[in-house]
Amino acid sequence: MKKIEAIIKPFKLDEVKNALSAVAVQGMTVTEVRGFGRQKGHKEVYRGAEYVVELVPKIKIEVVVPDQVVPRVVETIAKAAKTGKIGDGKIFVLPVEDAIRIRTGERGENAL
Amino acid sequence: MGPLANLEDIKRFYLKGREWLKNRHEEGITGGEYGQAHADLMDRVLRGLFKIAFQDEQLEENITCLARGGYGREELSPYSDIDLLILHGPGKGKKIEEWIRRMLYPLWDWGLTLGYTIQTPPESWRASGKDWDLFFSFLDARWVAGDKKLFYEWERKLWDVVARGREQDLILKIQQTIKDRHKHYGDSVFILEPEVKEGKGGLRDYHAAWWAAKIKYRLSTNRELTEKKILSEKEWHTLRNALNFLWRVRNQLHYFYQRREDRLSFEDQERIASLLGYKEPEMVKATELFLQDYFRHALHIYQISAHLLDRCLHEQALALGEYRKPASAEIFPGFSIYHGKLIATDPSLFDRQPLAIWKAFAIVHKYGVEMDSQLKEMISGQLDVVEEKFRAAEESIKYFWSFFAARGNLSLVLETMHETGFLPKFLPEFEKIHCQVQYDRYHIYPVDIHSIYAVRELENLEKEMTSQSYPLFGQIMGEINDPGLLKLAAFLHDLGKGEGAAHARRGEDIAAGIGQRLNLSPEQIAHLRFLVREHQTLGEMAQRRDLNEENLVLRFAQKVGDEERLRMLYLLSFADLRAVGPHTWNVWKDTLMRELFLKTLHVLEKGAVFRKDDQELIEKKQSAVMDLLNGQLASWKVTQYLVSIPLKQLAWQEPQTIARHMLMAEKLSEQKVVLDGEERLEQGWGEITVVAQDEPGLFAKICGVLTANSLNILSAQINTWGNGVAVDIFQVQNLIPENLFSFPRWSKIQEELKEVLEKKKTVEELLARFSLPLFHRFYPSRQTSRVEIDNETSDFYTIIEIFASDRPGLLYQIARKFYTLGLNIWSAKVSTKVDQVVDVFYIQDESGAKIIEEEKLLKIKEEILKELGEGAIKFCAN
Repeated sequence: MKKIEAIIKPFKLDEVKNALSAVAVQGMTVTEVRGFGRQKGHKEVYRGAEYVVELVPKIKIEVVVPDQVVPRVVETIAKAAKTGKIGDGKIFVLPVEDAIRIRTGERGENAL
Repeated sequence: MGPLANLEDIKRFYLKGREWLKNRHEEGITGGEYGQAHADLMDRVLRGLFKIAFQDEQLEENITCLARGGYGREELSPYSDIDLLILHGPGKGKKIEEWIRRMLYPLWDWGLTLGYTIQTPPESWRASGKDWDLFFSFLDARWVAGDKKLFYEWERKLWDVVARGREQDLILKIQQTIKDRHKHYGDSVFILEPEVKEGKGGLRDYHAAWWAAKIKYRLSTNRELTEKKILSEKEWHTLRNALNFLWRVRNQLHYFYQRREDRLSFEDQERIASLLGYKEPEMVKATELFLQDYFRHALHIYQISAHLLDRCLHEQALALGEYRKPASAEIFPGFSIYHGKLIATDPSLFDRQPLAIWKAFAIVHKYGVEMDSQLKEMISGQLDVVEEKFRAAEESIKYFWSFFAARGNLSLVLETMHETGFLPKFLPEFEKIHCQVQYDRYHIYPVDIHSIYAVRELENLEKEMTSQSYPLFGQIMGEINDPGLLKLAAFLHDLGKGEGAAHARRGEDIAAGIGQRLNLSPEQIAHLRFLVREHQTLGEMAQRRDLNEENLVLRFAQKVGDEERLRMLYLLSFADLRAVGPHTWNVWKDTLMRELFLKTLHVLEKGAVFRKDDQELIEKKQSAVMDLLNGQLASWKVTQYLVSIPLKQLAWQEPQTIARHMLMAEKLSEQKVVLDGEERLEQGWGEITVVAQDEPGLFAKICGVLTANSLNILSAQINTWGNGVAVDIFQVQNLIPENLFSFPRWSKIQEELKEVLEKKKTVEELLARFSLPLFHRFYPSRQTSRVEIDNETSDFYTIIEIFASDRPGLLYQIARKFYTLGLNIWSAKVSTKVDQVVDVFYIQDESGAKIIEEEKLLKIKEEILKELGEGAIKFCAN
């Protein structure tokens, strides 16, 4: 099992979500996050008052999937989230030791 | 029911009783009936056990078993705790503990949650004098078994020892615990997961008010609340209904979870609704109806309990049915302040002058003083007069609108109108959404409450209460020309809710109808319509669209139309989201929405957006293009192209030109690049249009090919369509006598451009053969080159101005440099003054955004200067 964490542009959420359900990803966790990478923040001005945007709004998607589908899921996310511009985001793949469905106590891939 | 002589019988009796209760519940008995029946069952069981435990000991005298808390009040839910107080006379000592345990053991065995305290009366008085919660639970004590005399004595003395002379303190204490409890449970009746017992509008609100009334008026049964005219029959009836409903919900929760559970958790609301008999084709609808009922009842419990507590606190002496005499003089004819709250000095005021109701609201609006519960009741009692004539009266219209137009305490007025039931009478549009819930995780408050909260958000900005936390919104609020209209829009924005999707569209008409009744001007109504219709647009676009797309912002600006509307829409979006729930508004949304707001504002300020006339012009042009291409290009194709062409271009270019570009683009399916040229002899230059699929460095390549063919570029316009087609137009000066469009020169240019784009040749190869005509000498200027960067003018582009001495190939050099720096040129304007060139470029980086980082801008400047300093491209002399 692997956990796939993707940081994407907010307006790409629907596309990525739809693409993932099309490859039968069962569930996901979506969080509104802020941060910066190579796409640094910037400054906005209204009537002389400055608003510094150091952290850019992004969406974090987390899914846990069996090993064999990892490449397909990663590819799906990358394809759907891509605009070709800076700030498109990143995808991380992390090992997952175990999963437990709390209601039934099922473990491992059965719990996904 | 047979005699309960032994344990087996009692157990059988108890289990049968439980089963009977469950069946009754499923048949739909009220919560009140259930609670009483359950308490009755427990009483019988305990009496039986008591008898068995003490029959041999001859101890029944001087021992009494009392029910406390909810059991004392006969409000037992299926899995409520059973709280007992065992009182005993002196001299029983330690032994009693053992006897009591023996008596209660079986109950624990049967799985009941049972708590008990064993005390002598003096011990219990002392303890309850130190622990007020204990005292309050003693207030509900009820005899169950044993020595009745002992109970009566204990109860009488409890008053004398603990409560006498401290009544006011105790009631204040109750008031404080209510406040603390509400704060702990979210301080609103309307929360996502209501607490049936402890939450605001929960059962505990009634208990607390009941304790206060009991202390104040020395009541023993709650029927006395009406007998002694502390509550009106109507209030008692409403309260009783509400309690029955909540008790029933609580019973259902206990059965559902098979344990004590008082929280209506979001996940299970649907199933609870279904179990309580809410049936609709769509379960979501049924759940919404259930929650609507729940909140309506909870609101009643909260309100009537608050009234009751209010009376207990302020009533000087028990004045049965007597009207309160104000302590101070009238502040306005007919009104006075009583204990910090507004009251009417004459109980029949509204009977004689129904419109005086407005006066009461006006005082609340102006002074922020709350209405006393009695005044609220006076209004509630007068709702029949709020009919057609009242609604249409000039005074009504004037007053109502003035609450919005003038600064004051609008949301307090609206809350009071809501609470008294006046609001849906005056604006019947609110009837439908009264306490209406949206069953999703997102919307916490019912629609009507949410609407009032949205107004409150704007009011707080206006009063600079939240401007510290939200300086930008505070500032913008101060710039609004018609804040009254904005507040009205916030109040009416969700009136279309409750009939499925597209609520904003429906709401627009409803709001406009109200606007008309309020005699608003056509312009105000147009604003109102716009704000209600688009109230979600800004928030949705900010979160779901790429804000670096200029077209998107342009189109949005187009929709909004002017700056005032944009400001109002921005503030409305803020107020709307803040009023959804405590955590709906966050920095994340704030950042995105501010970006869209500022970008749109800049577009509008610069007048870069087409007014209505322009819109018509564009539409005319679009149909002209259609006509021109009729028979040459399928109309669906023309439509496809029209959609992808930026509005700016549509507005500025002639239909003939646009049609020509489309026909050229159409050829791209067969050719890599399509050229078109036009000689403009009288102006001394020619115009070349190049259409190709856009790619990085395209512009530089075209410049290079043109330069290599002895053309000096005077100016250039770069147009990129949404479908990725680039249409670049060059005004060029011919540097050699040979006609630009003659054969074979023109075809050579076309051929070479194609080869460069197909990567068969490079621009450098072509330039190698270029030689400068003798009569076109360019002399190095004495002026030094200069690069200026303007990052203020546009939100989407960095504007780079380059001042340099003119020379052939300059544009190619600069364009190539931009390409190697990873920058995209969106538009270029080259102008020449004697020997000085001013080139203006609209630039974006590879991410399609303007360049913000200082270091990067500095690097661009340096690199360009370096390029310019190195002099002209190395041309081969021969």
